[in-house]
Amino acid sequence: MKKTLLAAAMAAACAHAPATFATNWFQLQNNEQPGAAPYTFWGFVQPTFTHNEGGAVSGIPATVVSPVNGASVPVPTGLRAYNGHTALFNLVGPDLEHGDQLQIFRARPGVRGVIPGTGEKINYFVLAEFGNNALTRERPAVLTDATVTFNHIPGARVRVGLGRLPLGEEAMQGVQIMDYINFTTLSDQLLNERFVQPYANASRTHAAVVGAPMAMSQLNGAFGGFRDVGVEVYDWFNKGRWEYTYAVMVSQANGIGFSDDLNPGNHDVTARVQASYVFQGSGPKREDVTAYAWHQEGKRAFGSSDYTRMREGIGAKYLRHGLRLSGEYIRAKGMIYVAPTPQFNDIGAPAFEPVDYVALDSSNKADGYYLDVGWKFAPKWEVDLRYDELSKMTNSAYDERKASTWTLGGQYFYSPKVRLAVNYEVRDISVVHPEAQVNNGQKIQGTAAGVIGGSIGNRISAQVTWIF
Amino acid sequence: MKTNRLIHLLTAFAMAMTFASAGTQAMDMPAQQASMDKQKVVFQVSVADPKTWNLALNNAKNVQQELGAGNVDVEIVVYGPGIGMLKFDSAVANRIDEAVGDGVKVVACENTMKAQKLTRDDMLSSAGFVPAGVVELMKKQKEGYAYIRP
Repeated sequence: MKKTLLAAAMAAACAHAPATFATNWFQLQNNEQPGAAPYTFWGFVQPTFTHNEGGAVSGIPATVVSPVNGASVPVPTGLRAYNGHTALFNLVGPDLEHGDQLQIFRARPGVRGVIPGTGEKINYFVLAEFGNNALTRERPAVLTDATVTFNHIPGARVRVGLGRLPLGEEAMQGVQIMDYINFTTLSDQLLNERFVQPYANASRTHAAVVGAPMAMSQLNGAFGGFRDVGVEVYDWFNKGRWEYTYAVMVSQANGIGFSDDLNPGNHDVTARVQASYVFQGSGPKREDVTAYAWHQEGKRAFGSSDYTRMREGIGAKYLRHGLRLSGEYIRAKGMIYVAPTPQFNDIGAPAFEPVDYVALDSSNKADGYYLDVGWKFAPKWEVDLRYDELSKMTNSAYDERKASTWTLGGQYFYSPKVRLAVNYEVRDISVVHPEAQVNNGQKIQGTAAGVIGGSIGNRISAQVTWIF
Repeated sequence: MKTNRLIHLLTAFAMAMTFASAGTQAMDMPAQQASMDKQKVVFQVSVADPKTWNLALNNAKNVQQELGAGNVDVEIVVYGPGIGMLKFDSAVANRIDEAVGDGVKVVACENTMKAQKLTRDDMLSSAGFVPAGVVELMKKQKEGYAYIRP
């Protein structure tokens, strides 16, 4: 059952990367090479195996010591009922039923080309998803991209339709060439948007909100997949080995949904600028050093009100002689998707019913960063190491949680179109300020959160990518 | 039994003599002869099509694999509309590096570069240069290089 999704969710991204364009995702995803055919069929498949080392939770106590008077305070049955059950982050998404799973994680066929008779000034890009991931949580197949680009105005190319947002680097790059199997928790949780709607159920009990104000919600529609329907104006300018790029996108803030149902009446504005110094080459593995910054702002409808949602980031990437160094800092305000609470599949009463808590107001913040190094030490072999960290609800000491992950990876390039990747992720979730649990409710829930978060296990993933 | 053992000994001796003789012949072969036997091939790339660039690089690699990299001199001469193959933003930049690392000589025509206002700084660091691509092809053919235009 594809219900609530967790930290390591997955989704999306992709874009064809023809071999003769630079590592400029705007060029790669929105434009065709000179002389391109009216249509080119292509795509990729990524069968993926995942094994979670984490097991069931066992330590939610029967009582805690009151921070108010030192008395013994009982922990509600609704929480203790989850002892013996496995937290969502130790299950394989999007199904969240097993700790181990082999699945066709992504299967994306597409077509792209130039429209005949336009002097190559109009091109298009269409891509579908048949894999089992957060984009297909409600339907077996979805369109992830459907854009037309008009290249008539010097310095202002115009792309219209469902396509990528000009966000952070992970959100923009094609997943078929991504150096890791899973996104960082940072990009996944802050940029791969979960659309939510208000939820109430008087027939069940729920974990109380005992810190900053949060709303009970449930997921609505597919994850955003770093995409939206809208109009993007962009272009790039070359001066010797320097390349400067800008992009501004106005979009309807509904993710991959074509309708306006998830967020009626609201729009996003997203912009990114980047500068690159090209050492040599082109294509998705161009050797260069690139610095970039981006910003996204808009509103989200929740019930009868709209709430401001902001995301922004800054980062850099270096690739030369097989050595890759990259890093990015991202921060967020408003519409912070906190987590399913408790973070389990529903086991029925008397347990608390898991609901998705979201911190709506723009005073709620989150931020984090990642650092990554990769070394292609032989033509067919590469090793990768990444650290990423996400702190949610940094505006509220009691609510703040930190997720950090070390990812050790290896890649074997069997051929230019077939690649095997193996990742081992050392994961941790912590309650950052236990000293901020100053009343009985906070002590109970904070203690439970610490126990549940402490059950997170490391994760092994193996994935084959076949590009056709 | 004894007869069999004797036959084995004689056979082994004969084989040893055969190998020794062959080795001596090889050692006695003049260096010039060995050099003349070395295969040589030059490829012309003069079109602005990455498919042709990849084909030329594939051909060069296949020649080296078939004959042994030490047994063949391979040169790729790039000029005219094909000059983009050796520009810094070439689609096959990494493959050029790899080929040069494997002993393939890859050269750009400086006449073409001048016509297109390209300097050596605009080119791949692994590329070599010749004053005129066409003349280079003529010289190499005169030196006995096989000429291939993919």
